[in-house]
Amino acid sequence: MPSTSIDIIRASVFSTYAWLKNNKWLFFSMLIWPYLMTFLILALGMVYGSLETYRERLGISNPVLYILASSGIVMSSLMIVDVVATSALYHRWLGTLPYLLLTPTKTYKVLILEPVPSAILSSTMSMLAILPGAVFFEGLLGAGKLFLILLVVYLGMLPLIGLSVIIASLTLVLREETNIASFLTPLILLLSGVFYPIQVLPAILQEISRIFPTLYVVQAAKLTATYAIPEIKALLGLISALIILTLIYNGTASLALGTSEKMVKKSGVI
Amino acid sequence: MMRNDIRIRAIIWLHFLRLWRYKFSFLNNILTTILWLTIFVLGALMFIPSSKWGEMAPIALWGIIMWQFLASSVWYIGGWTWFFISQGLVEEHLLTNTSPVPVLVGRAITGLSVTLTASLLVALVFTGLAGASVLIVYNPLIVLIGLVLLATMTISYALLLSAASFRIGIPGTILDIANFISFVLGGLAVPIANLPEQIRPIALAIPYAHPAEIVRYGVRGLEPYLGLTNELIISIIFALALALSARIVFKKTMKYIRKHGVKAVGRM
Amino acid sequence: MLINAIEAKGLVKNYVTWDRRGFFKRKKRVVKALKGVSFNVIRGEVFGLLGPNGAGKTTTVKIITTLLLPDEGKATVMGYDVVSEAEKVREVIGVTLSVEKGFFWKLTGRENLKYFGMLRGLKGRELDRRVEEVLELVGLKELGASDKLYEEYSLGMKARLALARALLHDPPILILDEPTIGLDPMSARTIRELLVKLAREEDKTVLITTHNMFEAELICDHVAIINDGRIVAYGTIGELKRRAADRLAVEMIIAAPHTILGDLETRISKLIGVRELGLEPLEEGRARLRIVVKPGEEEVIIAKSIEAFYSNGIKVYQVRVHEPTLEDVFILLTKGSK
Repeated sequence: MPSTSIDIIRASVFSTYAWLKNNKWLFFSMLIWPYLMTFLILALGMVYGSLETYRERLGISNPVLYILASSGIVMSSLMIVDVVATSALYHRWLGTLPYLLLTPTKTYKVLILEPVPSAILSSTMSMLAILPGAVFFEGLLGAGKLFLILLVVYLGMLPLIGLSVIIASLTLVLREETNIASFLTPLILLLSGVFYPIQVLPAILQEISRIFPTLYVVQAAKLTATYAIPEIKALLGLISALIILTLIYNGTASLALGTSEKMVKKSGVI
Repeated sequence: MMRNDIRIRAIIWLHFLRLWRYKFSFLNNILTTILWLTIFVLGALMFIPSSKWGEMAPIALWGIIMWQFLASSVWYIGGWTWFFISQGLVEEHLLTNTSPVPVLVGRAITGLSVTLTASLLVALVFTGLAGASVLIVYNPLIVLIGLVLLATMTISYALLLSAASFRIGIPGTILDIANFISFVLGGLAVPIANLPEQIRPIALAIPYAHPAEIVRYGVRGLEPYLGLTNELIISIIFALALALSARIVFKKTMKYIRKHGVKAVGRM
Repeated sequence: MLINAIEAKGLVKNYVTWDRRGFFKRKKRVVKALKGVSFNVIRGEVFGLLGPNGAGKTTTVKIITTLLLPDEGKATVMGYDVVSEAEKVREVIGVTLSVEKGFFWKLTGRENLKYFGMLRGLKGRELDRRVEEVLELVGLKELGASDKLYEEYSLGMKARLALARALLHDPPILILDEPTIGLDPMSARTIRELLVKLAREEDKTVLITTHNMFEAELICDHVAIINDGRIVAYGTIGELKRRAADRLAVEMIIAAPHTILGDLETRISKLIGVRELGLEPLEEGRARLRIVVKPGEEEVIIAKSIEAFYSNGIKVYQVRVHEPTLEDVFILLTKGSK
């Protein structure tokens, strides 16, 4: 009987759970990272300058909440790209890739679906980790805002997964043991203006940044951190952009994966 | 009796050869480092009025270079432990009477290569921002001494994390929380004198603060918080103490391994 | 001069593991890997440590090679204690722990050997000479694999490289944990022949662990069978086979109409020396008769059986005496283990 998508997801959820269960330290350290990042930026900035300057320059009402949310976005984007893009490499390294590919279903399904639960879970954990911070600053409203950001982050994951699959396809074909495209995550984040207004970048980079989903996620976070109730119209614009990117990236990803699968099977890299 | 110099030559040769064979990864790492540094620096610059960028740029750059020393030691030594263990290389080295410590320390070759190249390139960006070269220093010898002391401390720290990952099975990079804290509190980014009064005792207790003060003196001629001679003495004591601790802890870890066997690190 | 190259006396090793049953719940469990293992390996012989999976072979090897400390007991290699004189022990042993890892992926076979040779203090021309010698000896040169990256090696090449590393410093003792596991017959044969040659011609002591009985029968002078953390048998192949002497069997293929088989079975089972008897009908009116016999009685039983068959007009097509194999001994001694 062929495996269904649900079978693959269920197996992957189980393996992620078992892994976290047996590595609790890892689980807890994942929750701390957004705070460390926020601490770093805030401390660095406040020692050199002032929070007031930051607030004025970015035009936001709550800079701390914004930095915290941005750190969560940075971590969750990092998790998605890292987990999805390196999953095939990781399995090849462990020697489990052939067995994964022997799952009785389409190869692209396994390669896309297998890492997704782990990516989503890690990503959600990074965002949920900042919940206490959000509640501390803005009470229940803060929690509501965080929930809104989380929804946009989920939407942003869709094109990001597609982008990561494209990277994964490339690395598989290039026969590298390490993810030689890991620079793409900070590049995407740099161009998305995570901790600063996108306007500080040269005009050409600002144009390029439009093709990266994190730009819209960061802007949505900025909107929620700026206004008590974020403008629905502006948010809808960002959501539409993410939907368009989802279609483009995932379409390209399935093509790229199909091509790389053929090349990999031909060259016997697996 | 076997001579240690041959072993050290072998380890240095190994790491340079691997650096060359993994050249794409090397370039990728440099690029990744530069991009992450730029993200944080741009974030931090948003707190500073544009008029003060020129003044702050050299201090910020050297702070970041020093932080990178710490971060890369942890990543390249602590992180590599995963590969080293999983490939059965710990046992293979022990069988030749070679402790894993020098082999792991040798990873500093890779880490330093990435750090120095990335720092140089980031310096060019800073030079553009500040309008004057940020790499012109007041006393290069003092900078070098400071950096060597700092490297000794960070490598020892990375080894401590690596030893911990042998015991508890979690990659050293994940255990590294001190990395962030010491950046600010440890006086890597900021002169101790500029820190709030209440935080200074904490900074003084963190080893990295002292070579950082020496480096800043070498770069800008800023008087070290406890005076140059005192900072040098304290740094040497801290560096030796850390190196000695790493040695003792690793020895104990190796005993532990012989008692319980080597266990996997990370998601295996 | 020492007679025994390796001596192990009463080795005990317990591992503490945790059974994980839920997110926070876990239960401590002590696994008794070795329960008092003792054996000797004579200088210049090929010694086989045989046992099923999880019997304690690898734990024993790790203790003897100084990588693991025993909880109790003592082991020496060339007279050096594996606990207190670990460094000396490591100088006199060449080890392969796994045929598929333990090398740097992005280094060639030659470069890997050079590196590990340097760690052992070899240098300059001596190092180059030894590397070339062992590459030649294990056949990697012939395969043109010396300058290939390790990641491009086949399993057979990896096994040969692992053996080459063990030989690099020309140690008097080789300790090899399953050196032919997963190899094709040709590669496995090359390695086996090499091990025998090293023992016979270069007076090296070789300890191998395996569960390939055929291999053990072919090359081992002495074997020890380990089961559930204990040595359950020790001796030469011949000595061990005698322990399964009651497995000596006579097998006959006969033409027998089904109607008289039952009667014949009763008659033969009454012969002196017959311990067990089984009759299995085959195609075309034939049957296979398997008689487990008392050693020494087989000739009489064969003669009497044939006589009984012919007197009843039954043709005998084939007669074979089935001697017990090492595998019979192994199964006999280890059955019922985990």
